[in-house]
Amino acid sequence: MSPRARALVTAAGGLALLAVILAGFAKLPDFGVYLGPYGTLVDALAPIQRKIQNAITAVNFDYRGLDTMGEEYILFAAVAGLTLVLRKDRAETTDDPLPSAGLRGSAVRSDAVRAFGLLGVAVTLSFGIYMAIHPHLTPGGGFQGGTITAGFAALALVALGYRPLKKIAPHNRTEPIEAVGAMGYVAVGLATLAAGGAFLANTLPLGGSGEFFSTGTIPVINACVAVEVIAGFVLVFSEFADETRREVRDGEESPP
Amino acid sequence: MSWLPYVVPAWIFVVGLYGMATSRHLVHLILCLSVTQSATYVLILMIGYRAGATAPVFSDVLSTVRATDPVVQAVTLTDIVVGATVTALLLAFALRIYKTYGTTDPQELRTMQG
Repeated sequence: MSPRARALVTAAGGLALLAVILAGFAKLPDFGVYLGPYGTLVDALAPIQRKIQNAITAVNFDYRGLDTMGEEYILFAAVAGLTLVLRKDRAETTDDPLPSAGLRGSAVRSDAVRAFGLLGVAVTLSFGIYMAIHPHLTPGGGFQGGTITAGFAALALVALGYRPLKKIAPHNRTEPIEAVGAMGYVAVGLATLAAGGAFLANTLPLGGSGEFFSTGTIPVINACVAVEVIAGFVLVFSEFADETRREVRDGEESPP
Repeated sequence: MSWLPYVVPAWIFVVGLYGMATSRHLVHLILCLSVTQSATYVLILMIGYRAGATAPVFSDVLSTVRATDPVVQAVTLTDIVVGATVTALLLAFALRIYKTYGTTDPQELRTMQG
């Protein structure tokens, strides 16, 4: 099929699909009218039952904690798959940039890039960690904060270069940290079982509303998620950074 | 028309599908997949919206104030982050396809032709 014919067929099919979807949406409640019972219930009950101020976190890490565990393992599996795919035939990664990289691979960086990059690293780390450790009091949490925090690896690659990034976050360090984060979630669940509750039931003391150490198991689970997300994304960045370097494949001589 | 906003997620979904089907570059294809995926976020966040309501975070407002549905927001929040890693995995596949077949055009990949 020629690209033009493909575009025409797809456009016709797309418009038909759009009509079907819109027909399906026609019976939805009007925009701004909320009919579901659960949102109202969680909004009303979470601040009382769990002493929590962020109802979204209450859903994620308490009421539907098991679902979030599944989500966390999708993340884990995706990162594991990525490392597997990118590392397939790599015996060793050298520090040399790829020959095709040209000037982009050179170690020369302007002072402005270095200074603002480092400033970016500091701001990203502090804001990201602040966000990651306040899931119960602010609209923060391990997923959002973890993603922001992990951005430091990308900035460090720009500001400092490939070799310092590998020193800060080598694979043999990020991989176990990521695994600990993933395991921690299950460990909390097993601990709540051992404490006599259901799997992931909130069995810790709830504390006072608005305090940092409150809402029971929620900050503990959140910390596991934050560790997992930070380590996972740092691993992703550093795996892609490896792809910009010359590789030594199995059977090749390692450079002196 | 109070259901007119629902045209937005439907349009995002169909445009993403069109982009995927006619794509000539694997990275473009993966980004179109992300666009398609984000249609679901827009749709379920719209369903959880309540006119005049605030975010369901009660740090500085009373917990009796009208707030939106936290359930759909929790689902969207985790899925955006998980979706980012899945996109990274797909980009890794694209990189490997380029290394193996020497092309990033999905229409030149004979094994992917129907």
